[in-house]
Amino acid sequence: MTVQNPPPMSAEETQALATSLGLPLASERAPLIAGVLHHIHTVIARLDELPNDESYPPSFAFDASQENNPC
Amino acid sequence: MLNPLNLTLAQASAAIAARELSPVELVDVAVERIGARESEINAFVSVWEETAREQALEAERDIQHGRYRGPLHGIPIALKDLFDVADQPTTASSRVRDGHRAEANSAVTDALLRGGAILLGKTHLHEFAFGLTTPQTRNPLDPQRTSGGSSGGSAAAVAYGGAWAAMGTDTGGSIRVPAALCGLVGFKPTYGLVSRHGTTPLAWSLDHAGPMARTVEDVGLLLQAVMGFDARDPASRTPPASFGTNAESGVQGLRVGIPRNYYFDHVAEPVAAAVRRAAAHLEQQGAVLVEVDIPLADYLIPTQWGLMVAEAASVHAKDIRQSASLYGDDVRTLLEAGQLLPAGDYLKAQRARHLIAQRWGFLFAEVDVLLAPTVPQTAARIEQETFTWEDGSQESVAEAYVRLCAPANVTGLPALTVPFGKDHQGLPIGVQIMGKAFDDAKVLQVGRAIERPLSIA
Repeated sequence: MTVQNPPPMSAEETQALATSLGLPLASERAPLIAGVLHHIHTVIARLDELPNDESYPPSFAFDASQENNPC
Repeated sequence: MLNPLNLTLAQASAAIAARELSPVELVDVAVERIGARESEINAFVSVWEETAREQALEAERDIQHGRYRGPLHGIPIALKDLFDVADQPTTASSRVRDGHRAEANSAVTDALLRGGAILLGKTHLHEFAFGLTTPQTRNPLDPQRTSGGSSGGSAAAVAYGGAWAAMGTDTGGSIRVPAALCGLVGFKPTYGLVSRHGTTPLAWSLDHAGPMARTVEDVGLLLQAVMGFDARDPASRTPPASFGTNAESGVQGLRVGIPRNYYFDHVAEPVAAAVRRAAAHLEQQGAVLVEVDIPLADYLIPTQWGLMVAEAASVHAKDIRQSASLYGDDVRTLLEAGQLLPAGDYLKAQRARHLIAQRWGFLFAEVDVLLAPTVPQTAARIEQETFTWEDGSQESVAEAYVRLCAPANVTGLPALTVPFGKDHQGLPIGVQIMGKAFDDAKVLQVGRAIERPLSIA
């Protein structure tokens, strides 16, 4: 899968998203949070390169002894 | 006459059991060290001098009357201020926790008290364990440098002699990083081996509790006391019946994986050289060195971020909406951004973890342990924000310190840091040993082999 890096949200979009989620975000902090969110999102987007098909479900009940056993 | 400050936990324990040393003497020495260093280092949130003396007197009486409880009996230990102690605040080194008071002991607190340990006080951490530097605490080996984090106070306290051991937590290196920077041994056990009940979480699926001390033997003694199944922690697992460290076990025939990729990228040369020397030291003792490729290396940190930021945002969802101004700037920024992270990013990281853990399982079919640097550079200066690598690239101090530790959090595998040599500035270097899930005893066994004095040719 190709890595998709969406463009960063604007400060206004970030503040609107925060408001919709009940997070009070001062307008002067919105540009900073937009930048940090974009950075985190971009780092995580690298995982789109992995073959995340149905054979690799999420690990909600993470168990180190099971997860690390080769199949 | 014994100088208690020169004794390891195991040595002090043996002297107490033989009634050659009183727990009261140990507390007196620790309190004296705290008095001498604390104004400069600031390792402790609170020191419980009076109750520690009472506990020491009680331990002394018990031991005199033949009620010896084991190797922690009468030993002063410090707790990272994330572990609940009944009727005491758990501050998490944050103003958000002003007025907090724990109703009951954490599982770790109870285990230490059952073993007869003396709780000397609570130590500072990077606020809510969400950082790698603990800015309010200094490194006792050089107060102009960071003690590392997030368990920076725990490491600093043990390093200057304010306690014989400490408990920390580790979500992306928070035990191993400060232990390495302060010249100590630090152990992040297998996920689920030590209960987190009563411990303030940062990210549930990455959080581990573990010991920090001066020697591998000492962390092993502490681990034995605090590990075990606890139904109150959903991640808790029963340790294997054969768990136990054999001091005499060597490394003859043990396969030690030396990574070809990832763990030596952007690593300071003195640190890389120390790991090579540690590998040669193990080989000299009969270990077999095996070069290995670290699978899915490019996806380790993205997975760590996807899990940690999302889970931490969830832990703090209420407080960040009600009390954002009480958080420090760095933690507040990450938590606010985390509130806006799409759920799909978290699921992506969960799925990646599954894949990574499987591939690391294949890796550990080839080797018994992995040997690598703990951190790519020794202790940074207090105000230092970045490291510059040989190719001219820059990396933030926090990102550099988490980079080589986080894989063991993503996979849940046991990981130990052991001091091995110093850099050109005399700062300690940590080498890291990782093992298979619940093969913690083998990791400690290799750690003890690394500690053994180098033989002279």
